Amino acid sequence: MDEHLKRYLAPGDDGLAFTEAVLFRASGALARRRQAAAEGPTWSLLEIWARPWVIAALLLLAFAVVVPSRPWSLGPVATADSGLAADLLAASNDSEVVLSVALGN
Amino acid sequence: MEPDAALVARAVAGDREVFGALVMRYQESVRRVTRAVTGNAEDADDAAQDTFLSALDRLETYDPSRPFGPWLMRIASNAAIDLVRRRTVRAAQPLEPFYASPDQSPAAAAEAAEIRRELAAALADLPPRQRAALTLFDVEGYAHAEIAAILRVPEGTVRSDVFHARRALRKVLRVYGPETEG
Repeated sequence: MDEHLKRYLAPGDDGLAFTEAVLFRASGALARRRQAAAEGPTWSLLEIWARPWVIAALLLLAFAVVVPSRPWSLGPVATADSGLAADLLAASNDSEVVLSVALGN
Repeated sequence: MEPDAALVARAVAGDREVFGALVMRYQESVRRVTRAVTGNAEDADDAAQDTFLSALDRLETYDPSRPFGPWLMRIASNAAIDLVRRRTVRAAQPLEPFYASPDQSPAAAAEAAEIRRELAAALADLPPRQRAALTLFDVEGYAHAEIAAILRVPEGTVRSDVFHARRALRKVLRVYGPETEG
Protein backbone atom coordinates (compact mmCIF):
# COMPACT_ATOMS: atom_id res chain seq x y z
CA MET A 1 0.00 0.00 0.00
CA ASP A 2 2.81 2.39 0.95
CA GLU A 3 4.38 2.09 -2.47
CA HIS A 4 1.10 2.63 -4.33
CA LEU A 5 0.33 5.66 -2.21
CA LYS A 6 3.82 7.08 -2.59
CA ARG A 7 3.73 6.74 -6.35
CA TYR A 8 0.22 8.12 -6.50
CA LEU A 9 1.19 11.21 -4.52
CA ALA A 10 4.54 11.77 -6.24
CA PRO A 11 4.57 15.10 -8.09
CA GLY A 12 6.12 13.41 -11.12
CA ASP A 13 8.57 16.18 -11.97
CA ASP A 14 12.10 17.11 -10.96
CA GLY A 15 10.92 19.97 -8.74
CA LEU A 16 12.96 22.63 -10.55
CA ALA A 17 9.96 24.56 -11.87
CA PHE A 18 8.31 24.39 -8.47
CA THR A 19 11.47 25.64 -6.75
CA GLU A 20 11.83 28.50 -9.24
CA ALA A 21 8.21 29.49 -8.60
CA VAL A 22 8.83 29.54 -4.85
CA LEU A 23 12.02 31.56 -5.26
CA PHE A 24 10.21 34.02 -7.51
CA ARG A 25 7.50 34.57 -4.91
CA ALA A 26 10.11 34.74 -2.14
CA SER A 27 12.35 37.25 -3.90
CA GLY A 28 11.01 40.23 -1.93
CA ALA A 29 11.39 38.52 1.43
CA LEU A 30 14.87 37.29 0.53
CA ALA A 31 15.93 40.80 -0.54
CA ARG A 32 14.66 42.24 2.75
CA ARG A 33 16.62 39.60 4.64
CA ARG A 34 19.80 40.39 2.70
CA GLN A 35 19.36 44.09 3.41
CA ALA A 36 18.74 43.44 7.09
CA ALA A 37 21.80 41.20 7.22
CA ALA A 38 23.93 43.90 5.58
CA GLU A 39 22.78 46.60 7.98
CA GLY A 40 22.11 44.39 10.91
CA PRO A 41 25.45 43.86 12.67
CA THR A 42 26.11 47.57 13.42
CA TRP A 43 22.71 48.11 14.87
CA SER A 44 22.63 44.86 16.72
CA LEU A 45 26.07 45.57 18.23
CA LEU A 46 24.83 48.97 19.30
CA GLU A 47 21.77 47.40 20.75
CA ILE A 48 23.63 44.69 22.58
CA TRP A 49 26.69 46.57 23.83
CA ALA A 50 25.87 50.25 23.75
CA ARG A 51 22.44 50.24 25.25
CA PRO A 52 23.50 49.29 28.80
CA TRP A 53 26.27 51.88 28.73
CA VAL A 54 23.99 54.59 27.45
CA ILE A 55 21.46 53.75 30.13
CA ALA A 56 24.16 53.66 32.82
CA ALA A 57 25.55 57.02 31.69
CA LEU A 58 22.08 58.57 31.75
CA LEU A 59 21.47 57.18 35.22
CA LEU A 60 24.81 58.57 36.47
CA LEU A 61 24.05 61.97 34.94
CA ALA A 62 20.62 62.03 36.53
CA PHE A 63 22.13 60.99 39.85
CA ALA A 64 24.78 63.72 39.63
CA VAL A 65 22.13 66.35 38.90
CA VAL A 66 19.66 65.23 41.51
CA VAL A 67 21.93 64.41 44.43
CA PRO A 68 23.30 67.93 45.17
CA SER A 69 19.79 69.30 45.53
CA ARG A 70 18.91 66.75 48.17
CA PRO A 71 18.47 68.15 51.72
CA TRP A 72 21.18 65.97 53.20
CA SER A 73 23.61 67.22 50.61
CA LEU A 74 23.15 70.85 51.79
CA GLY A 75 24.88 70.11 55.09
CA PRO A 76 28.42 71.23 54.21
CA VAL A 77 27.20 74.34 52.38
CA ALA A 78 25.08 75.31 55.34
CA THR A 79 28.02 74.81 57.66
CA ALA A 80 30.12 77.10 55.52
CA ASP A 81 27.37 79.68 55.55
CA SER A 82 27.17 79.37 59.32
CA GLY A 83 30.91 79.83 59.65
CA LEU A 84 30.82 82.91 57.51
CA ALA A 85 27.94 84.31 59.49
CA ALA A 86 29.79 83.60 62.68
CA ASP A 87 32.82 85.47 61.33
CA LEU A 88 30.67 88.38 60.35
CA LEU A 89 29.03 88.26 63.69
CA ALA A 90 32.39 88.21 65.36
CA ALA A 91 33.53 91.12 63.25
CA SER A 92 30.43 92.95 64.11
CA ASN A 93 31.10 92.33 67.76
CA ASP A 94 34.60 93.62 67.34
CA SER A 95 33.29 96.76 65.67
CA GLU A 96 30.93 97.24 68.49
CA VAL A 97 33.76 96.74 70.87
CA VAL A 98 35.88 99.28 68.99
CA LEU A 99 32.96 101.68 68.79
CA SER A 100 32.30 101.25 72.44
CA VAL A 101 35.90 101.90 73.20
CA ALA A 102 35.87 105.00 70.97
CA LEU A 103 32.81 106.29 72.69
CA GLY A 104 34.44 105.69 75.97
CA ASN A 105 31.94 103.23 77.24
CA MET B 1 25.36 17.10 2.18
CA GLU B 2 25.18 20.24 4.26
CA PRO B 3 22.98 19.82 7.37
CA ASP B 4 19.58 21.49 7.38
CA ALA B 5 20.45 23.71 10.34
CA ALA B 6 23.47 25.13 8.49
CA LEU B 7 21.34 25.84 5.42
CA VAL B 8 18.70 27.51 7.56
CA ALA B 9 21.32 29.68 9.25
CA ARG B 10 22.47 30.90 5.85
CA ALA B 11 18.94 31.28 4.49
CA VAL B 12 18.13 33.60 7.39
CA ALA B 13 20.54 36.07 5.81
CA GLY B 14 18.54 35.93 2.56
CA ASP B 15 20.83 33.67 0.54
CA ARG B 16 18.69 32.80 -2.47
CA GLU B 17 20.75 29.82 -3.54
CA VAL B 18 20.70 28.28 -0.08
CA PHE B 19 16.97 28.78 0.33
CA GLY B 20 16.52 27.21 -3.09
CA ALA B 21 18.55 24.20 -1.92
CA LEU B 22 16.26 23.83 1.09
CA VAL B 23 13.19 24.00 -1.15
CA MET B 24 14.66 21.39 -3.51
CA ARG B 25 15.52 19.12 -0.61
CA TYR B 26 11.99 19.13 0.82
CA GLN B 27 9.72 19.97 -2.10
CA GLU B 28 8.86 16.37 -2.88
CA SER B 29 7.83 15.46 0.67
CA VAL B 30 5.91 18.68 1.15
CA ARG B 31 4.11 18.28 -2.16
CA ARG B 32 3.18 14.67 -1.38
CA VAL B 33 1.57 15.76 1.88
CA THR B 34 -0.27 18.68 0.32
CA ARG B 35 -1.42 16.49 -2.56
CA ALA B 36 -2.77 13.93 -0.12
CA VAL B 37 -4.64 16.56 1.85
CA THR B 38 -6.04 18.65 -1.01
CA GLY B 39 -6.50 15.83 -3.54
CA ASN B 40 -5.73 18.23 -6.34
CA ALA B 41 -2.40 19.00 -7.98
CA GLU B 42 -2.95 22.75 -8.42
CA ASP B 43 -4.24 23.32 -4.89
CA ALA B 44 -1.46 21.11 -3.58
CA ASP B 45 1.25 23.17 -5.24
CA ASP B 46 -0.39 26.40 -4.04
CA ALA B 47 -0.31 25.07 -0.48
CA ALA B 48 3.25 23.77 -0.92
CA GLN B 49 4.46 27.16 -2.17
CA ASP B 50 2.69 28.86 0.73
CA THR B 51 4.45 26.41 3.02
CA PHE B 52 7.92 27.47 1.91
CA LEU B 53 7.05 31.18 1.95
CA SER B 54 5.62 30.85 5.42
CA ALA B 55 8.69 28.90 6.54
CA LEU B 56 10.92 31.68 5.17
CA ASP B 57 8.93 34.26 7.14
CA ARG B 58 9.45 32.41 10.39
CA LEU B 59 12.89 30.88 9.98
CA GLU B 60 13.95 32.59 13.21
CA THR B 61 11.47 30.48 15.15
CA TYR B 62 13.07 27.23 13.98
CA ASP B 63 15.11 25.55 16.71
CA PRO B 64 18.30 24.25 15.02
CA SER B 65 18.72 21.58 17.69
CA ARG B 66 15.61 19.84 16.35
CA PRO B 67 15.07 18.23 12.94
CA PHE B 68 13.90 20.58 10.21
CA GLY B 69 11.55 18.11 8.49
CA PRO B 70 8.83 17.88 11.16
CA TRP B 71 8.96 21.66 11.64
CA LEU B 72 8.35 22.14 7.92
CA MET B 73 5.72 19.40 7.77
CA ARG B 74 3.73 21.13 10.47
CA ILE B 75 3.58 24.25 8.31
CA ALA B 76 2.74 22.16 5.24
CA SER B 77 -0.07 20.24 6.95
CA ASN B 78 -1.56 23.44 8.32
CA ALA B 79 -1.31 25.18 4.95
CA ALA B 80 -3.02 22.31 3.14
CA ILE B 81 -5.73 21.76 5.75
CA ASP B 82 -6.39 25.50 5.94
CA LEU B 83 -6.66 25.69 2.18
CA VAL B 84 -9.17 22.83 2.11
CA ARG B 85 -11.27 24.54 4.79
CA ARG B 86 -10.95 28.03 3.31
CA ARG B 87 -11.84 27.44 -0.24
CA THR B 88 -14.14 25.21 -2.15
CA VAL B 89 -11.41 23.04 -3.45
CA ARG B 90 -11.47 21.97 -7.03
CA ALA B 91 -13.27 18.67 -7.42
CA ALA B 92 -11.00 15.82 -6.44
CA GLN B 93 -9.60 14.33 -9.60
CA PRO B 94 -7.12 11.51 -9.81
CA LEU B 95 -3.68 13.07 -9.70
CA GLU B 96 -1.77 12.89 -12.95
CA PRO B 97 -0.36 9.52 -13.99
CA PHE B 98 2.57 8.56 -11.82
CA TYR B 99 3.93 5.39 -13.26
CA ALA B 100 2.97 5.49 -16.85
CA SER B 101 5.99 4.44 -18.84
CA PRO B 102 6.41 3.87 -22.56
CA ASP B 103 7.13 0.20 -22.04
CA GLN B 104 4.01 -0.36 -19.94
CA SER B 105 1.54 -2.78 -21.45
CA PRO B 106 -1.99 -1.56 -22.12
CA ALA B 107 -3.30 -3.89 -19.42
CA ALA B 108 -0.82 -2.58 -16.82
CA ALA B 109 -1.59 1.01 -17.78
CA ALA B 110 -5.30 0.35 -17.38
CA GLU B 111 -4.75 -1.21 -13.97
CA ALA B 112 -2.60 1.73 -12.91
CA ALA B 113 -5.32 4.13 -13.99
CA GLU B 114 -7.86 2.13 -12.07
CA ILE B 115 -5.71 2.24 -8.93
CA ARG B 116 -5.39 6.00 -9.30
CA ARG B 117 -9.12 6.42 -9.54
CA GLU B 118 -9.75 4.16 -6.55
CA LEU B 119 -7.09 5.89 -4.48
CA ALA B 120 -8.44 9.33 -5.34
CA ALA B 121 -11.94 8.27 -4.32
CA ALA B 122 -10.76 6.60 -1.09
CA LEU B 123 -8.63 9.58 -0.09
CA ALA B 124 -11.41 12.01 -0.90
CA ASP B 125 -13.66 10.20 1.56
CA LEU B 126 -11.18 10.72 4.42
CA PRO B 127 -11.09 13.86 6.56
CA PRO B 128 -8.08 16.10 5.72
CA ARG B 129 -6.29 15.34 8.99
CA GLN B 130 -6.53 11.58 8.38
CA ARG B 131 -5.06 12.05 4.91
CA ALA B 132 -2.20 14.03 6.39
CA ALA B 133 -1.60 11.48 9.16
CA LEU B 134 -1.64 8.55 6.73
CA THR B 135 0.81 10.22 4.34
CA LEU B 136 3.16 11.31 7.10
CA PHE B 137 3.16 7.78 8.52
CA ASP B 138 3.06 5.49 5.49
CA VAL B 139 4.81 7.61 2.88
CA GLU B 140 7.09 9.99 4.77
CA GLY B 141 7.96 7.52 7.51
CA TYR B 142 7.35 9.66 10.58
CA ALA B 143 6.54 8.00 13.90
CA HIS B 144 3.18 8.44 15.60
CA ALA B 145 4.69 10.74 18.23
CA GLU B 146 6.29 12.94 15.57
CA ILE B 147 3.02 13.15 13.65
CA ALA B 148 1.23 14.06 16.86
CA ALA B 149 3.64 16.97 17.27
CA ILE B 150 3.29 17.95 13.62
CA LEU B 151 -0.51 17.92 13.65
CA ARG B 152 -0.74 19.05 17.29
CA VAL B 153 -3.10 16.28 18.29
CA PRO B 154 -2.69 13.52 20.89
CA GLU B 155 -0.70 10.48 19.81
CA GLY B 156 -3.75 8.28 20.30
CA THR B 157 -5.64 10.40 17.79
CA VAL B 158 -2.85 9.91 15.27
CA ARG B 159 -2.92 6.14 15.78
CA SER B 160 -6.67 6.15 15.28
CA ASP B 161 -6.41 8.37 12.19
CA VAL B 162 -3.77 6.17 10.60
CA PHE B 163 -5.70 3.01 11.45
CA HIS B 164 -8.94 4.23 9.90
CA ALA B 165 -7.25 5.69 6.85
CA ARG B 166 -5.28 2.51 6.18
CA ARG B 167 -8.39 0.40 6.57
CA ALA B 168 -10.23 2.57 4.04
CA LEU B 169 -7.38 2.36 1.54
CA ARG B 170 -6.88 -1.37 2.03
CA LYS B 171 -10.46 -1.99 1.03
CA VAL B 172 -9.70 -0.28 -2.24
CA LEU B 173 -6.30 -1.82 -2.86
CA ARG B 174 -6.98 -5.37 -1.71
CA VAL B 175 -8.24 -6.34 -5.13
CA TYR B 176 -4.86 -5.55 -6.68
CA GLY B 177 -2.95 -8.43 -5.12
CA PRO B 178 -0.73 -9.28 -2.15
CA GLU B 179 1.68 -6.39 -2.73
CA THR B 180 -1.08 -3.95 -1.97
CA GLU B 181 -1.73 -5.41 1.46
CA GLY B 182 1.30 -3.55 2.91
